[in-house]
Amino acid sequence: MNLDEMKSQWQADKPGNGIFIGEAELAARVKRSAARFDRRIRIRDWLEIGAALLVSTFFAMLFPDAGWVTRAGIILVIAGCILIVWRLRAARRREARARRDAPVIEVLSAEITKVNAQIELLRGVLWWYIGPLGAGLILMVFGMLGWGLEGILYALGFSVFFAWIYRLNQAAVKRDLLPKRRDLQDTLASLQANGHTETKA
Amino acid sequence: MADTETRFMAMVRDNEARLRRICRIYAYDREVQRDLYQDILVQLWRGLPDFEGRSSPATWLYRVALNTALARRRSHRSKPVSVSDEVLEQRADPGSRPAQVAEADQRLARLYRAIDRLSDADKTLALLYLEDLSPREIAGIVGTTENNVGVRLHRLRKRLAELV
Repeated sequence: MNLDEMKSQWQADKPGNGIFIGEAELAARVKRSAARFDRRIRIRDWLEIGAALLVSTFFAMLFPDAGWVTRAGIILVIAGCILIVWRLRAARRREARARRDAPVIEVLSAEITKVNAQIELLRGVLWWYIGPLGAGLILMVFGMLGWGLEGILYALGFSVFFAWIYRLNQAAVKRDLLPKRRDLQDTLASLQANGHTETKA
Repeated sequence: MADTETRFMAMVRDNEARLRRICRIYAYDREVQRDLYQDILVQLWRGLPDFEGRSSPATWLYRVALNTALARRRSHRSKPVSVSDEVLEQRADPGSRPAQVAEADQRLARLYRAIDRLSDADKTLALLYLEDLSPREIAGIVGTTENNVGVRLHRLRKRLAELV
């Protein structure tokens, strides 16, 4: 088969894809989807800040009547909330986002940078998320319940919970982000290479 | 806003078949093709106000569409990719069509199947080649050199001819 001869037939092909709606409806749908996309981003940002504010306010209210160990815990938890919001926002700002209308290779490179930032974020979750919050909560538990068996049991419960969160994050790196990065790197290398054609098995 | 909408609709009208072909080679079934088509339209709509004419409208459209399709493929990587079976089903039955038309349809179905077996990078090049873009235009869309595109297209043509 001569591929040059196939070009005209290829270009004449009009796959249906099953969408048969009028232009006005199409424009309305696209606008709705675009607005929904922007709204989702805004809601995510506000939820993060809202949750941090809520947790901080709740614990700050306990501060005046608390002992010094509990107070130290409260300060750690509030600092942890601020650190989480700052870290998430800083990571997003650092993500080099190429515009969708940039050349394919440029977008792939930017995506790799973004995935690397996400991997770094999740791998370091112990320091910016679990550490301050976990240490703060455990201090609060000991401050409120004392250093006896009950306090130790609660502290153990929190430790198990945070260990589970840590494992979830590391599993997400292994299951989602590393394969995604490999995939991106393969496609990028394949587009940059001056040569061979890969074929899927 | 009304002007943007008019421009957008004109662009969709002029490029609908092109966009649907992109969806067909990057998405594995009709439902996913439909979602991808909508995703591409959303990205085109979002990007249109910022389109400054630094590249040609065709280059801009292909970049947005291909980047969206590749990103979507990555997020749905675990699902099987086999548009060609569906394409073959649609086209294999000659029905009452003249033999020549049926044969042409079969050839096209074989071509889709061959493209389906390529890597994402080669799919991109094959698509742009079949859309009759010059190596210079392809290089501009992909972000590589014209020479690189020329070499790769030469090998890709041979490879596709073998697969078809």
